[in-house]
Amino acid sequence: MIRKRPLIGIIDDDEIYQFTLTRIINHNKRAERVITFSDGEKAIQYLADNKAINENIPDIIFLDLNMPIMDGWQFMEEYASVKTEIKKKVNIFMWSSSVNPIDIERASEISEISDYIIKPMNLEEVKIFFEKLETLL
Amino acid sequence: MIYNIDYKELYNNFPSGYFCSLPDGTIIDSNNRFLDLTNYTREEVIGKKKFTDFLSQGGKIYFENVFSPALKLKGTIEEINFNFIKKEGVKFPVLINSVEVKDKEGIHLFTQSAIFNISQRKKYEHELLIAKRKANDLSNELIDINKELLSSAELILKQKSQLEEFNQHLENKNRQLSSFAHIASHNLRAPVSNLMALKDFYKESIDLEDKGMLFSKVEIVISHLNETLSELIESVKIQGNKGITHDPIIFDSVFHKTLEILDNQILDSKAVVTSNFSEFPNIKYPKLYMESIMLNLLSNSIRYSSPDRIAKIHFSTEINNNEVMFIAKDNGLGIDLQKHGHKLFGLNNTFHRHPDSKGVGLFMTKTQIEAIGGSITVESEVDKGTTFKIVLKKNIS
Amino acid sequence: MLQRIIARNNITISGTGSKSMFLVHGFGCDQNMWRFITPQFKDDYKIILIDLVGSGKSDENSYDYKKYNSLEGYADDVIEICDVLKLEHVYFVGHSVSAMIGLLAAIKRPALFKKLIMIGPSPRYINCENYFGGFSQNDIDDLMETLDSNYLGWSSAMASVIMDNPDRPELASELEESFCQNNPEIARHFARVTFLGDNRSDLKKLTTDTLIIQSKTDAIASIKVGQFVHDNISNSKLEVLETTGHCPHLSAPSQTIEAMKKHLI
Repeated sequence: MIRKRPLIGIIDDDEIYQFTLTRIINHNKRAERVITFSDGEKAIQYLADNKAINENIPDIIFLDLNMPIMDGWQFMEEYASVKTEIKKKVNIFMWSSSVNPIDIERASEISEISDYIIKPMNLEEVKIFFEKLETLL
Repeated sequence: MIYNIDYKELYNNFPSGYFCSLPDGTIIDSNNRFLDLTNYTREEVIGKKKFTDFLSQGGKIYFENVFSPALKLKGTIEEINFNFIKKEGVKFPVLINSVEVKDKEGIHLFTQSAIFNISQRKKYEHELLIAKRKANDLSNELIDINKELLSSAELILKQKSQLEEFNQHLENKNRQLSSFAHIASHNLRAPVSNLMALKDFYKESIDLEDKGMLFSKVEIVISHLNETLSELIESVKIQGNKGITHDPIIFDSVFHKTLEILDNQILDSKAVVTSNFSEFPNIKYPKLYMESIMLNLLSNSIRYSSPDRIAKIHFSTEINNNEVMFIAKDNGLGIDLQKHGHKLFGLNNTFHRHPDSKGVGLFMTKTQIEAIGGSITVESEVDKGTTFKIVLKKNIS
Repeated sequence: MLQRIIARNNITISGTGSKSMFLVHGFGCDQNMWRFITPQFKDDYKIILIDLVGSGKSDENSYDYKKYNSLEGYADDVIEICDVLKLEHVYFVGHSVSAMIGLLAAIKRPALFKKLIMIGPSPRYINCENYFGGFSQNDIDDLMETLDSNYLGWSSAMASVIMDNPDRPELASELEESFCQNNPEIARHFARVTFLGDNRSDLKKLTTDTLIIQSKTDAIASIKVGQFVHDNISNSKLEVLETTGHCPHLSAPSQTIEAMKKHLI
């Protein structure tokens, strides 16, 4: 059976980064679709609106830590409540350019976060990520 | 019991030397002891020798100028030290007491003198004097050394305080550097990485339209990068410019100039802008910084005013405990300090989905304020308003 | 100013006469040594007695080692005192080294002094070629030693009561405290300045009428020296007294007074 490619969500305020990552993912045919959000608030809104529609809920979410309006931590807080109404498994990967051990520690304590990634990811790193991902999913 | 005392016998054998002399000094009588001490025979002395004949030249000067007048005026003198000269020329030190004997009319008849050989005493005295002199010298040396030590100690204290100052300075610089390094790496890494990715895409792309789109994205990143770099360089300049001139500033003048610059924005927003600098009307401060601070704060307050009410913005100065404070208060949108407080003064941070909200102003404002030795704090409540409190200068005397 | 100078030199003024007689003691003592002389002149003269700075009850703190490194310093004080007291036609009596002090003052201000009386003067104490002062450098060193070994002796010597003035008890306490008490450092310095000085070349410059009173036997300023002084002061007379000792005004006051009176007519 051909495994279905995942729906990927990118929550990051750097629009150029959104663009380049999306392009890499699509170029390598890693995703069925990529949806992007510039801040956590918009993302929560989308999840709430689509909580009943599984096919619209991303399988993988890349979540930036430092964003205006609502940052990564605040998103996770909101997500905790929305999550109960979503019937799909969502793998959230938090990323940040911060290598602050406090942030990494904090991320590991949130069960919904699958892993913590150091930004930015270049082409090579994206490739490796998706190869490993096959095994994770 | 009655003792038969032969006074003459007693006088002659007394353990001190006695002699009797006329007013002109001629010795008319002496006891045996005196003759023994001086090694003369009776015939050589009585009627022949004068008092002063037994003295050295220096002693004679002392005798004539001090001893004699004193004896004449007081009638008696005691404990004077002379060197007496023996027949063979040898000197020995004596202590002499003399008294004038007068008749009923007060005419001076003769002088009675007693001499005590103090050879041993003199030796002892000599040793004491030497010891005293040594002790004095030592004491003076110690005083000098003590003075030196004290001044060394003072110097060391001074150097210590200089070192502490310098250390503080280094710590500040270090803090600035590390925060700068942090900001630099944080804010530069993403755009550079984006450029790398875009560059790779551009190289691979064969479509002209695609290339064009990619290139315009490159332009966006470059401009963003350029802005960030300019801010960073500017902040370095500010931090490095410790010697910037402090100009005499009248707050009212700068305020009015700021109002002129933002005239259009004030009109459009219908904001009511007031001020009260009466508590502290002027200050010595870099003019450029003060203008920039007021401009930033006023434009922020106008930009983030609430659509639900008329914007009221008030600038004032206060003085508390030798600190001059500048206060900017508005009734605008406010900031959620819990969420965004820690990012408020960072570079390129935004908290509102506002097309103009770049947040660069506060980073530069903070840098300028801190470069002059002041500080900036903020109080805010969402949908109520924001107050910025700036300590411009401490220790205004 | 006047107060300061009076205190500085412990100036005492007595006498009811219109003429001024200014008496200055020599090395070793203070104004007390004139007490047998002054009573005889009280009626005809205003008597001014001083203690040289550094001696007697003068102000020790005023002793400037630089200023008093030469007798000129003292001469200037004498002139200053005359001016401040507005004295004119002064009859100056100087014993021993103060005779030279008077000399220097009169050379500087000849109009100020009417007559000079020198008792036992000497322009130089140390022997040199063609001049017999009476002493060698060693002798002066010897004097220094004697001065040193007697500083402690002074206070006790001077503490005793006067025998010859039982009806004047106030004199007793006066003398007890003040008589010939010198700061040892100052005494040494003054001794050096006095006995190592040389004022022979100044003698010729004096034009004032001068009387030299000389003891026949004086171990400090011999007749030879007195003669020398007389020979070199043009306007001078020499009176040799049949006395012994350097202080005839103390040991033979009546003879001294007689000689003075003769000259003061």
